[in-house]
Amino acid sequence: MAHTQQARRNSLKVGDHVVSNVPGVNWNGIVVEDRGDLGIDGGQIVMIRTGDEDEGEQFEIRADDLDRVAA
Amino acid sequence: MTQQLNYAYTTLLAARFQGFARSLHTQTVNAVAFGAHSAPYRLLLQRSLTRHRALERHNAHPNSIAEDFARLGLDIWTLADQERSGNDERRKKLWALITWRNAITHDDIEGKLKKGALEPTTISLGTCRSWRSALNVLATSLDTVAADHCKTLGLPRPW
Repeated sequence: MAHTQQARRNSLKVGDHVVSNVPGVNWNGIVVEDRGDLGIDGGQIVMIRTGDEDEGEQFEIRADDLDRVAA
Repeated sequence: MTQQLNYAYTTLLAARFQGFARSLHTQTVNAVAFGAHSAPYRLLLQRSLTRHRALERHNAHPNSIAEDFARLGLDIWTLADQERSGNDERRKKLWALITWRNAITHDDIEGKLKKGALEPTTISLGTCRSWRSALNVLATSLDTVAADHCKTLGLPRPW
């Protein structure tokens, strides 16, 4: 339970600026939707937007693969 | 007043089913991506399979669902029809629900009725219950077919 609460405290939220923490993948973007704990292992999934608001693209990614960064 | 409640029921059913279909796609993509041999490949798969989804841009009508699951190599309605008899008729109910939902939310009921696009021509509580029952069965079939497909791809059955 403590682990769960810790994980929820650290979960990504809409508006967070994020970067990929996977070597070789240089994405940075903004969380636009918290899709909930829909990962196959119960992990959080978020929708992020990379690029411009008008011309960027949106896709889903595991929160574990992202790090929150300062805006 | 009863008619307004039935219209609200219709839009809620459409919204809930869209949420279900979108979440099922998300979970199936996640299960498939977990089979990737490396983390960068997994991310690439997740991005490719979830960007510009039809279910982000359109209602959860049968074509949107088919388009998004086809990205996974899954002919979802053919398999859903094989999974349980009567699903082709239930899919027609989904079309009817979505058409009604659009007529309600775009305030175009009269226009659609004149074109003969709404079947049935009125909605009752019984209609909504019939749609809900059909969607419940469809959801169970889609869930089963998506999980089976992961196994077909050589992955563990995720649920």
